[in-house]
Parts: sequence; structure tokens; C-alpha cells
Amino acid sequence: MHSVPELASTARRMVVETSAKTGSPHLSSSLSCVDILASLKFHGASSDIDRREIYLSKGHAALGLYAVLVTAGQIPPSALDDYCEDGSIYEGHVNSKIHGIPLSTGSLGHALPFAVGRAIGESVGSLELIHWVVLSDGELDEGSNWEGLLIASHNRLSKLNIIVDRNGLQSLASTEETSALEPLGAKLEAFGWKVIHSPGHNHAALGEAIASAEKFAGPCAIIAETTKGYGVKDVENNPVLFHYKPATSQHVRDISNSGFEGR
Amino acid sequence: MRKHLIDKLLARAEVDQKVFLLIGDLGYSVVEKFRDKFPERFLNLGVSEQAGIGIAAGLAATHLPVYYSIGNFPSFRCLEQIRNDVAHEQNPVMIVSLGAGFSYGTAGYSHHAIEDAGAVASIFGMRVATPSCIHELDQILEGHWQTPAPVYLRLGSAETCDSCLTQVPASLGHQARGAKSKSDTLSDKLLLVTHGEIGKEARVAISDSGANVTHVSLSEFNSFDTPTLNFISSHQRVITVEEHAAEFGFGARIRSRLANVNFESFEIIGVPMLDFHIGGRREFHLERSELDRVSLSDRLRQANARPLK
Repeated sequence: MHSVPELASTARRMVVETSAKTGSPHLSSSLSCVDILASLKFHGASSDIDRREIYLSKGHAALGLYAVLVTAGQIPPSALDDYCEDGSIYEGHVNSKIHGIPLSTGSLGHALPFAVGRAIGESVGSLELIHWVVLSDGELDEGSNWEGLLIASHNRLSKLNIIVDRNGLQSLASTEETSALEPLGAKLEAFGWKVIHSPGHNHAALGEAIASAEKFAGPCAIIAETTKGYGVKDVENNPVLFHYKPATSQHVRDISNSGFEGR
Repeated sequence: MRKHLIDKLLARAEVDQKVFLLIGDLGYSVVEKFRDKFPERFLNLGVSEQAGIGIAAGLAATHLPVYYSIGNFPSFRCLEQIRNDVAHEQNPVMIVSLGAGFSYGTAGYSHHAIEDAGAVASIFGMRVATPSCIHELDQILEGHWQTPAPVYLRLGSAETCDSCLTQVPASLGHQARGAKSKSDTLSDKLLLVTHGEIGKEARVAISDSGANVTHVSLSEFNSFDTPTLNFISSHQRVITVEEHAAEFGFGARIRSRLANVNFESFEIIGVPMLDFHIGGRREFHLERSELDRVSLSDRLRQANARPLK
């Protein structure tokens, strides 16, 4: 039985190797959220994990999700060989044709409202799913997210939570230089959400935050403080560059030599 | 037509627990009875069309969502949500827009739904329909309950069927409703195909013109069955009329589907590009667009008078 950090580390390595092999972009965005996704997929009892419906709203980090799903045994390892290949369902942005993925994403600001609809529909039924939407901080520029936040809190949706991958960066500059989000926690609270701050690469803390949110009788937002490109020093130092550029063979060597926790 | 729609939704909701009505803070004086009867299957999502369509798409996993709004709000404001979350994923959401064409004439350009159908129909997997009367609406609703699929439904103001065309030629597809005019036999020469409530103006125009014409009302905007297309193809001259931009509308779509048919003439009558900073009632805008009964009558008279080749 592997620990969550071990599993996340395996997924992170898959991300770097696949990015280098396929020349695919969005490396730093994928590395930013691997620990979040791994925590959702691996933290807690299997009965808790099985109830989690995960939406990756930041669909450009698809490789991060696919790597975690491979690690979880939900999709075959060959998925990463097929990543971005002709005729493959493992597209560069998240595809709902993949087992266990409820919504195709890629255009930002779509998954939260969709999950709100799922949660509303199930609130009058007997299903016990808990809907988890992983958003980038940059995509909080989208008004549809704030519409969804308002509606979710107004309807006191207790089976809906979000995790904001708060790496502080957008595609060209920081979120604060682009369209300032801070004070983000206060804004989310003002929209009626319970807010939990968590380090975004600490699995114990993330797991605790997830468990706490799932017990709360209302929508909960975890703001996960992350590092874009986490786990590969060169990428961490050039996160904007590696928003678009793929990993190199040197990055593969770097990640292979790192420990379970990255650094 | 909105009252009829809500009555039908109420009736369906009685027997189908999945029917769920979402509104975008519109529908005053008609949606309340649904809200009061089925409060657990009704939500006013507020003025939030983008989230509203996304929510409807998510809700479709467990329910049959109907998202109700007016004018251009449930189309242009949320076109990408319709494309990605509804059509691409084939979530069976019924999007209802009240106010097709110039129904909200005096409200101004923001409320003229004259390009919405073309925009939504440009999305793969989206069916668009504009019933001309409550009977066509019933037909669409029944089809949707039997085979739920993404559909964008444009409604006018008719709460009756005074424009209904009930004599359906045997050769006509089930989608269309047709009638002969003037002569006892259906004209195989001149065919008038109307879309939506403009069919009412067309009926009067036929009468005024004295033209020998077969008139068909077709509520489908972009999804035509083969018998209907074959029926249209069997005519030498065709005129289509719609209260929508002609350039990328219903008539243009039919013509495109029948590109290989050698019609003697195929006229597409719809809304031209005008300066819509000028306001007025629906009748004013129809006249300005040459879609009023007098203009249509002239077009029919001209078409009928031309000698056949």
C-alpha cells in the first residue's frame, strides 16, 4: 500500500515524462495540481474516495489528471502513451469519454456551474456523491464561476466543494498583476462559502482540509497554496515559460532523482 | 405560447418526476403555478445565463431540465455553455426562449431574437425549433419527452392555434404541417414554407394574393426529415419565410440541404440587415423587413404570375 505522497510523486513523474515525450504544453499547470488531485483520489477511506466526483475545471492540466487516474488504476497506463495522439480520447484538455470524468473541459469557467447542477439534482434524490471542482486561480476571472458560487451558497449545497489551485500565476503574469483576486478568501466568504486555507503540496494538510469540507453542511472552498511547476526546479523558476513549453529530457532526469515529496 | 408551455410542463411533471424547471429570473405571471405545485423541482437561478445553462447541463444527469428565459439571453449570453456543456455532451436540456423574432418589438434591439436561431443552430448537436402554434409546440414537447435531447425552443406569443395548418399532405414528413390554398389540389408549382408565427401573416397574404400555392409550416429550423425535404424538392418554385435573419436562417439551411435540386426559383424571405436603432411594435418591424402581409402578398402574386418554364 503506497502513501499519498508516494502516489503523487509517481503521478508527477508521469506528467514530466509524458510531457517530454509528446512535446505537450501546460506542464507547469499540471504539476501545480497533481498533489490536489492525488489527495482527492487517495486520501481517506475507500468509501469516502468512491463518493468523490472530480471535475478538473482547469482542463488544460489534463495530463496531471490523467497521470493521477493512471496511478489510481482508473485508466490504463497506455493512456499516457496515447496522450495527444491521433485518434486518442486522451486529448490535451479533459475529455468526458474517459472513464470517471464527468465533463469535458478546456474552456474555463464551465465545471463549477455544471457541478452545481449535478448537486442540485442529487439533493432531491438518494445519491451520496460529493462533487469536487478543482479550479485554477486565473480562471476565477470568469464571471460564470462567480454566478455558480452565488447559486451554490444560496441553495446551501452541502455536497459541493471547490479547491482553488492558488499558484498565483496566469498565462502571462501573476494573478495580482492581471486582475487582482486578493483578498480571495474574504471574497469567497462574502459569497457564502466556508473557506479553508491549505498548503497545496502537503498531503496531510490537504487531506485534512478535504475531510473537513466533506463534513461541513454547506459549500466549502479550499484555497490550496501551490507552486506552478512544483517538483521540477527549472520549471518552478520559469512557470510562465512552461505554461506553454513541454518538459525536457533534463527535467525527466531531475524528477527521477527527486524523492517522494519532490523536494 | 408561454402559458401553454407551462401548462404542458405542469401536466408532464405530474407523471414524470424528472421534469425540472429552471428560470433566469423571468417568467413573471406564468411560472408561479409550476413553482407552487412543484417547489422541489423549480429554481429561479437569477440573472445568470452562463451558469444557468451549465447548471441545466449538470442537472440533466438526474432530471429533464427546462431552462426558461427570453429573447437573446439564453443563446448569445451563454453560447459556449450551450456548445460545450449541452450539445457536445448531449445533455438533454430544453432551452426555451420566449420572444422569437420581433415579439418584443418595442423593447428594442437587445430583445430582437432575429439571429439567435442561426447562432444556436450553428452548434453541432443542437436542434432548434420555432413552433407556429400551440399544436406544433405540443408536437415538439411530446417528441422531447419520448426522446430527450438538446433542443433550443423559440416561442412567439400565440396562445391558440388560429394559424395552425391542419391538412397535412400524405407525402409530407411528420415534422411539417401543411395545407392547400385556393385550388382543390395541392399546387406542385409554388410552395410556401414558413417557420414560426410568421405563418399567420403568410396565410393572410395567400388569401390576399389569390395565389395558387401550397403552404407548409415547418417548426424545425435545422433538422429536416427526408419526407419533408422530398416534399419540398417536388415543387418547381419555393419561397421560405421566417422572422429571423435571412442570411443564416431557416430558408438558407433548407436551400443548403437541397443544393443539388434544380428549382426553377428558390426565394428566401427573412429579416435583412437594417439599422435596428429604430424602434417600434412587431408590426412595424415586420413591415420594415418586408415581412408583413402586404409585402408577402406582393411576393406571392409576383411568383404566381411568372410563367412556368
